[in-house]
Amino acid sequence: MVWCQPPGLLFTGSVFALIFAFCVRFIAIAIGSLESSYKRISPSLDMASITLGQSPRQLLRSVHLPLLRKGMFAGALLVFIESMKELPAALLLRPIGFENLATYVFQFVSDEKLEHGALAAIVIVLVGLVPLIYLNRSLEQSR
Amino acid sequence: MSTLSIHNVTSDYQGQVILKQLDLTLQQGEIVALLGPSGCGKTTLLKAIAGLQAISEGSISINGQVLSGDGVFVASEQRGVGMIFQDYALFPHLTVADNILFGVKGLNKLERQTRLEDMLELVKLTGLGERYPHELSGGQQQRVSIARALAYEPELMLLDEPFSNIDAQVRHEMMLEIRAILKQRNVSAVFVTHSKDEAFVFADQLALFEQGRIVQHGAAETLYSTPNSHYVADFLGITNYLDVTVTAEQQVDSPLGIIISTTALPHTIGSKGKLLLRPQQILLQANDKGDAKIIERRFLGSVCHYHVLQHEVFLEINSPMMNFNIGQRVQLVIPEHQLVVFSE
Repeated sequence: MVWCQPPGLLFTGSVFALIFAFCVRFIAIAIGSLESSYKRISPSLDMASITLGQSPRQLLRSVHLPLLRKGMFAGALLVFIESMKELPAALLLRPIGFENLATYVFQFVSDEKLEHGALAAIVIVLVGLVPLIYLNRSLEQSR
Repeated sequence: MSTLSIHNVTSDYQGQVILKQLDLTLQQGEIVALLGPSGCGKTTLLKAIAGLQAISEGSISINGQVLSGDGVFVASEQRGVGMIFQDYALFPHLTVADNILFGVKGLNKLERQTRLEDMLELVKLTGLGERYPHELSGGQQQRVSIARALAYEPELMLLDEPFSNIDAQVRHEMMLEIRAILKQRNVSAVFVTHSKDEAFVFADQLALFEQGRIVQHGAAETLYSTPNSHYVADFLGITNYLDVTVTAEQQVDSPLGIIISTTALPHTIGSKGKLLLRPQQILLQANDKGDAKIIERRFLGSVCHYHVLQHEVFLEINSPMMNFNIGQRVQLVIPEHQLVVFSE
């Protein structure tokens, strides 16, 4: 039976530990992004929805979630950029043989093979740039 | 039958009493204004009626059904009250049509469409159903929120300073328009405002608040002409006070001479008090040998506002006569009317 087998090296042998560490490390960014879009929702919207006969659950589904969508997407993007660049946690917790861009670059750079790491480093910069452009634009729109 | 009945309502928030033993009843189709300076508890009462604020004592009932109090608390979403907000509170991600139909339930597609058309016509926004709130002007947005609340067919309408974000030029017209809609639908309404002018235009009854209490409640005219305190008198308009002695049942002696009242004064003869005079209750007559002197003049359109000094008594007077200049001597005449004297 599968479910009673020992979990094995769940923490050290798989990306689970890495994902868990990234979640803990970057959750503040996601919460911050969501919080700022929550602050933009006027409390009178809640009161309007409730006095129009909507239950709190319906309020969440039909008012809050649609209005938070942008904030959630922005939060996810920010976490993505941060995770992509994160080096120390990735070095310590990655399973053997697992590389992400940061560790890949780090290894070549520490071996002074700069030209081998250069491409991956540029990819980090470029991939990190795209969401920043998007975020900047949506920030300007909301002004 | 009274739509809304508020009995002995007290509310406190973090140990601070906000509402103190309020009593208020509202007849079907009547509009009452809760009037008072900011922070006096009028919005708290509105929220208590909507079920968004708990009360610690007393009871609130609509059409005889207790909503708050006596161990009962009906949730906001089951109260059937419509609420209008200062910031309109339209859902920005929904079109005008979806906003209006937000609270409408249990109708088929055709009935929903009919309801929507009715509402758009009622608030004169026909054809704008597919717009988003941010594409409308402030006045139009507020009309959408009225339509949204009415589409829900509430038993009672609560309006929280609905006109304070509307441009002054269109505010008056809009108040009359919305008042007409409420009257046409025979919807009772509670209207919160800090502006006496809005309250006069919009409401049938005024309830004047001071620090969580209703100090006087009644028709606007009653409160204006026979206020029960300095506070009420001052809140509803410019006031002049004269030190007077009651010399007969319908007569007082003032620094401006004898003034006659058309009704009997409740004061004992010989008692002293302050006589309330509104700026239009004092008439100006051109007289070069008059006892009074104009010291300030301001043109207000339909009337002129004068500051007048007579025997060290300073008075503010509104007069339709525009031709007095600063420094000119005039004679003051106070016609007989129902005098209001506050005992000292």
